[in-house]
Amino acid sequence: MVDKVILNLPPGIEIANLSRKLEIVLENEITIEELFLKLAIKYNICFQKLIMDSIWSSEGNLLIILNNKSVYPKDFSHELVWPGDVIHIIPPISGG
Amino acid sequence: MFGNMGRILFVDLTKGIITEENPPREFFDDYLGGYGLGARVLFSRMKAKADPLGPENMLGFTTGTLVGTPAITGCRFTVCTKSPLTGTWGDANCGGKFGPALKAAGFDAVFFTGISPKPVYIWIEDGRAELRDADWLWGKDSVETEELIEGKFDKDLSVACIGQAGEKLSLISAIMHDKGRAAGRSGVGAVMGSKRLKAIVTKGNIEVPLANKEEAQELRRKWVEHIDRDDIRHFRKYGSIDHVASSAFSNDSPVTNWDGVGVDDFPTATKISDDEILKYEVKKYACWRCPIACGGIYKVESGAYKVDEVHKPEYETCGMFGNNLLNDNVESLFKLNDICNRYGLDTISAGAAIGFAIECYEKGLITKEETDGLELNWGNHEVIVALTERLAKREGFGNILADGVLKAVEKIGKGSEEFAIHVGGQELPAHDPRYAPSWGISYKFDATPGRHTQLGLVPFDNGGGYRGLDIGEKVEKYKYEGKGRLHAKVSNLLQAIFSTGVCMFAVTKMDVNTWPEFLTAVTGKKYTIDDLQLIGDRIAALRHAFNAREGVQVTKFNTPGRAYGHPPQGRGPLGEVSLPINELGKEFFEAQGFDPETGWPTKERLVELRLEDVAKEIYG
Repeated sequence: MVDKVILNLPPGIEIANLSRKLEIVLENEITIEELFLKLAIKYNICFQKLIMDSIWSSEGNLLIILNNKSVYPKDFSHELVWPGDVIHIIPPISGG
Repeated sequence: MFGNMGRILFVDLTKGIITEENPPREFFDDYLGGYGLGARVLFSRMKAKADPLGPENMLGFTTGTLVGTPAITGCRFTVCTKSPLTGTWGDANCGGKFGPALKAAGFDAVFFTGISPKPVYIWIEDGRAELRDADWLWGKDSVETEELIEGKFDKDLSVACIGQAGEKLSLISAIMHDKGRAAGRSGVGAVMGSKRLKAIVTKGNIEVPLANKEEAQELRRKWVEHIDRDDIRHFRKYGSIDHVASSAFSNDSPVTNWDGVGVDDFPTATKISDDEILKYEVKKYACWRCPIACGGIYKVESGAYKVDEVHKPEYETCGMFGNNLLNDNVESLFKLNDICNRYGLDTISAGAAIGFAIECYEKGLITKEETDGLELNWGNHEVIVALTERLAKREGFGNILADGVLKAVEKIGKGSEEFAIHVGGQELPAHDPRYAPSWGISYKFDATPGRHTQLGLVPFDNGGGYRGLDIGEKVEKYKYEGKGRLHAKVSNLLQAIFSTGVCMFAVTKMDVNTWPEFLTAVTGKKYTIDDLQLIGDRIAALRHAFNAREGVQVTKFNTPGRAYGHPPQGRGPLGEVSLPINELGKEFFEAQGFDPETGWPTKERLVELRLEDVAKEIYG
């Protein structure tokens, strides 16, 4: 049984010495917000700075693609992540 | 005249006559530069219904009040014309150093009419200009052209030119500068080619007169400090290529000609994005005195796609030639970008045309015999490169695609219009209106169809905004009531800011008050955001008035269903989105004071904006 969540991170993450693809072991479902808090604890301020702080910028919100569906920050507190899920973190775009 | 040179050139290429005019201060105050100034000149001096490739069409190169000044990113020039691609108002803009160089040569703008009996280029130096024979340059690509001119004279020049695509009147051809910067859209290269104008060459060191030079320099120091931030450092490193993959996965980017879903259909998008592109960077590139410096010079050392010292492809190029075509060969993207830059092609429209052709082939509308033996399949980078070269040269089947998808539909028929993703003839760029609905408003209802650089409300759609700009209302991406109205307001404000000649990327990252502060220091006249709003309202109305005089109703343009969710895609991150685009347009035009049925500015609105002459010409 798959017990991992695949998390695809945006560019710039190497500053924090993180791989662009993280595999997070989950025992049960948790919310996206809880997942981020878990990662912030594990990776300390690097993850917080690169991910949590960029939830809002002048160019817009961080967006999550969870199993090919869009999830917006207002839903992070109740949208559940299950073992086996695939997440892409989409940073705000500049419109180029 | 502070902020401007106060001198504009008018060149009649048929007669070979160059004249100079010196508009009053108010002329620059009212339009600032860019497409604002261009729209004023073209509306006043062109007659309606001019053949875009005929002698009556005008081709303008404009700078802006902040170009060549200490203002952050005051470096852009704009090309304005009646577009041969869409038959509407057409504009395209470009960075590099040509804008400041034109002012340093003594002029704010230069406008061309007529058709030269033989190929020429114009030499502009220290306040003087002359037409010169360009036989020795005709047939050369844009890089060769610049190198030949530099070799014959000196390197202290700035050149804007066309490649062979413009010479051969490709309706998706661009005007090139600095061996890889492009004023890409609207088919402006074809207009230059139709006039047999190969290049504009500028030389000079005339300084832009500044009302308060010390204040302008102090402002530059202040705002450079303002951008000493992580997000700017990130953008300096990557530029627009940081989101090639993420835009595939969010479906902001088209995949398989706007029919696909990135996560499912193009999981290898990461191979052509951000760090995978950056590996080929050999040095940084910055436009004229830009402290952001998002560009780069790239090299592929060996192999089929070996290129030397080429410009970094922008997101749009990677989106259209990569994600859109399922092409995950990163080196081919450098080659494709180089082909387009050398021949002088818009990479957006060229990538879109290739995608259209592949879908036509896969759906059986065209055969291998018709494509000169090429098997057009998604992701086949060798075929994509080969077909792009043929498009650039107008060879064989490439000639079918060389005027964009709408013209290709006329030649292919068989229901191929279903696969032609354009508005009004201009291919859509690599941002999906379903991802940010305000893009959909601009694509359909701006005076220039299909323009992603008319950002308007897009950052608000995505949950952000512009630093320092309070629009007084909360915007939600898929809450449509009020969006058209707010988009009109913000889009107009930006049209004024862009007309000063600054970079869109800087506008998205700087505090919006940067621009009136610089304008005040540069001109000595006090500017506020409200002043810029009024100027932007006027510019937007004038650009639309140009279309009204042509009898063009952008409201009647087609709506490509795939890009607007008509019907909803049914799968992927944007699978449920369907834009009520007609309702958005109605609100957009009502907020502008335009007729929502036609998209034309009303007589009352034109008079209100001090465009009485325009009102009189349209309404009598």
